[in-house]
Amino acid sequence: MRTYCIIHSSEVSSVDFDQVLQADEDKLRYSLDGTKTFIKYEGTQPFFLLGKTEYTHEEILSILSGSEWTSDEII
Amino acid sequence: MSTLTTHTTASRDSHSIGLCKFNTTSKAIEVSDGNSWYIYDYDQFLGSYTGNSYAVSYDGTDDYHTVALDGTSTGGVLASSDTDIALTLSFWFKPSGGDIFGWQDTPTSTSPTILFTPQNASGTTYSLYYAGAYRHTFSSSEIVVGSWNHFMITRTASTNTWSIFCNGNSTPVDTFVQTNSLSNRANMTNMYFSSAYYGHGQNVFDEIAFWNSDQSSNLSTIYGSSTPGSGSPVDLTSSQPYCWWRMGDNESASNGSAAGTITNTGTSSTGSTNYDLTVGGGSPTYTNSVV
Repeated sequence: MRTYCIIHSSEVSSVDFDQVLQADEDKLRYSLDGTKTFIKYEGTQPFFLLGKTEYTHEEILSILSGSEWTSDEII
Repeated sequence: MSTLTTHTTASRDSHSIGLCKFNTTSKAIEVSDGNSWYIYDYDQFLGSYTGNSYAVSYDGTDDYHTVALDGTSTGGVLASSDTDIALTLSFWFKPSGGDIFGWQDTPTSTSPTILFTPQNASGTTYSLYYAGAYRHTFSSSEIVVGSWNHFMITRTASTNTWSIFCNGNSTPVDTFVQTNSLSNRANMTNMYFSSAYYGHGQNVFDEIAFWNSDQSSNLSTIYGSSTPGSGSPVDLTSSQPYCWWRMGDNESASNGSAAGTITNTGTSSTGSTNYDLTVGGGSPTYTNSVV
């Protein structure tokens, strides 16, 4: 089961991509203002994420659908 | 079914009028006239069809695949003349929310060529943008959320007519006759699967195929049944798609493993550009939950 943690963009450099599902920095999705991103993993929370709030798939989908992450502008 | 016997280039059989062999070195068919070998070479090798055991799942947070399938007028995969543009895109998908597909320059482009998305950022009623506008909103019976659906969009060169087909029904759910020009063609640089204007989609994709020709008359062959609603993915080898992404069936896939680069097995795969699907974001996974 996948677990998700939101981190600040400044913390990306501390991510060990061998311990998470995204392959590298280029595969991350950022908030619309660019200040946040999220990491996803399976199993135990990686050490470098200790203290970060863990979200389930449903919880992160709800967060990502908000205006902080998704534009509601219509083409 | 008869089977040709074989020989190799280094050790061809002795000549005999009408003798027909498969050359295992060159992969060509060779026929003897008693003195010389007449060689009938293949056009393309499409790989061998191995059935359908895998699809690719996208979790709706950041997963998507992309391919630089350039349809612009400067050396793209489509005809350079706007009056000659024909295309077909076909895929099976199981949507659970979020964006489906885009053919555009960037995932958030406001000038896409084709966009298949919910009506708004959080909706599950899907709309299709093509020919410069949102032109069709799918009913809940045309695209069923949480179920496998087949989608095919075509455009003819002869009449510039777009047609949208759902689940093998030969009556399009939408048609539109465009002027010669393809709207936003200059931005037609990348295809995005499970990502488009609003963000990312929670989907499963299987058997994605693209032709730079109109295949609307081959709908039932591509769909796999003459009866709408009862088709299933079939071997598309004989339909010769320009690009064909099997979504795991030609890869070393296993259920739940990372779906990295998806190999193009279409006729263009032997050209100078591979047109493989690459991970644009997140971490898509293979699933054996297939159609």
